[in-house]
Amino acid sequence: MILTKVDYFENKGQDNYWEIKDVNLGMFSLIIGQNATGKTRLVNVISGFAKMLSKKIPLIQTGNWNLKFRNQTTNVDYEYHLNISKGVVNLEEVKLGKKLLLKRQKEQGELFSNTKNKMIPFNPPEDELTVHVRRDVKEFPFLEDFLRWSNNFHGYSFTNVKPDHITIPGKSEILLEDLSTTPYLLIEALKTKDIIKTIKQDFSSIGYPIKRIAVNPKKITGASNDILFATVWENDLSCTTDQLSMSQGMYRAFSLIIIIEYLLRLKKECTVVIDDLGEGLDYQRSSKIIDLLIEKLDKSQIQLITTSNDRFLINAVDLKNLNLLERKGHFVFSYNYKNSKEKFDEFVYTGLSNFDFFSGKMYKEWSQS
Amino acid sequence: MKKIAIFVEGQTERIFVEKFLIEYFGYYKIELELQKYLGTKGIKFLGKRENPYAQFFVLIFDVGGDSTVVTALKERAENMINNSGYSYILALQDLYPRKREEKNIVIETFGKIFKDYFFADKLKLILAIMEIEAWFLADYNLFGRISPLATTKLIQEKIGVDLIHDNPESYRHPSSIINQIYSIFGQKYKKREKQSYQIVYKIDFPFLICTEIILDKVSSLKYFIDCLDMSFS
Repeated sequence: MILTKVDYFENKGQDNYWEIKDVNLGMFSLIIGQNATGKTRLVNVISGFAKMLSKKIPLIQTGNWNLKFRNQTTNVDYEYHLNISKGVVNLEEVKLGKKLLLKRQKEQGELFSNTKNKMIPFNPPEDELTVHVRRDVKEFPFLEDFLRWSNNFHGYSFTNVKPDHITIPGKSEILLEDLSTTPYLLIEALKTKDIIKTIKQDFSSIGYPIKRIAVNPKKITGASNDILFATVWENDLSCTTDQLSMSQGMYRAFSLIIIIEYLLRLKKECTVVIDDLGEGLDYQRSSKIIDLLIEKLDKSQIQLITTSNDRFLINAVDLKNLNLLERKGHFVFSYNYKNSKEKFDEFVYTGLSNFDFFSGKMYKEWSQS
Repeated sequence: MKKIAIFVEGQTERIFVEKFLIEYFGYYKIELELQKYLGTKGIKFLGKRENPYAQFFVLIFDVGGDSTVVTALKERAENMINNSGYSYILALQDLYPRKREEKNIVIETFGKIFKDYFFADKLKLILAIMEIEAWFLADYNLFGRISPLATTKLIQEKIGVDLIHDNPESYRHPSSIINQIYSIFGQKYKKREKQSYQIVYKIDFPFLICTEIILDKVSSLKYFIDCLDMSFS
């Protein structure tokens, strides 16, 4: 299942009201917008919903999510509407096309039973989501779709990856939670045949040719156990480079390549969100990394949603994959191929770069000015 | 000295335009400078053919893979015409991957982008149809000069393309035709620098420029020559 549409608001009628509308997503989507438009906030809206659903975080206190999903296997579209205010679930509604599967207001609700073929009443606690209190794979299979999606959701911040920031995962699920588990994920990845060869090829293809990858334990003062560090041997160097000596951009790219290859080999449907992709990389490598990701994920089961302001990265993708965020006060609107098809189609004839479409606001009425 | 700039979208076009200008105007009339756009790394100076007796200075600006001809024009044209004394800027790009029937939309859209600039009439868009390689194919004996295995007769036999009678502008993807021709003598057309020099320097330019029947067929090449004549007049 993939996420196909996001509409969200919070604190309506209050000073801190914020709304984002009409974000349309596909298997690959690049969200762009000027600084302080709401890119990271959008990522947090999506991540927050997924993590709340998978119980990685407690119920978010306030928010209104109107999300659409597509089950790629059955080709059906779900709509999930969730409104939470002060920790109380005011509204939770799930539709499959036009068919209502769940409608609940606070402690009163009904949901569609597949085995009984009718809506049945239920009374969930007002501070719990339905998926957390009513599960039955045969009776309510749609709830399983949402749980599966949220359990296979991975959100990463490219900017937050730092060579000297290492998370030691207590349990294996945490391996994929963060890009800072890289050396530990590498140890896990080594169990998979040929994975290192592919990682070396991928890393070389974005301009970091290497001949060897290793993981080494190091004693750190104050730590009870040795900590693992990743090491690479670049082709043009006569010594190895451990992760502490890597540039931020290099290490970010290295971590991302490892995690993407690992996820690909799991052969599971999943949604990956990467905030600020390309940050810290030079222009050649930022366009190469997006090319690499698009090529690797093509025809895979991985949905990739990224944000960036990088001109060269924006120029490297198909215009139809862009969501261009524009903020007016508390309101953010997303221009994309679905809601602005005419402008997107017209722009193709200009011969300009995608970045001009964004910087010149050509997704609006440019040609009639 | 009159200054003209020609923006091209890649290495092959840059090499072709440089050679074309020398063949068309002769060494003695022009001074050439070659630059390549390298994204955030700036602009690389590729070389200069100095000529103290030149009547025209021509800058060939290769926009490289990280921009487009129209974007580079949009970013630079105003300053070049206002402050650097350029009289005309020609923008040469392939119509491909747009479709043949979209040619007029591309030209109209180009007009819309620059319609409010005072220098709009100093900019000329030349669309090679469908690719600049169509102009190479117009010199139908070119490949026989590259390999004795690639005569027009053999090309027709092996890949079914009649270079003498076809209009190369009718080919949807001319560079793939060249690739097929190269395969006859065991090579691939990869547009690498050495290969671009090899093919461009084997073109019979007087034949291309002076053969009426060729210019009647290859309208985009004729338009390129018309734009040069107009800019240099």
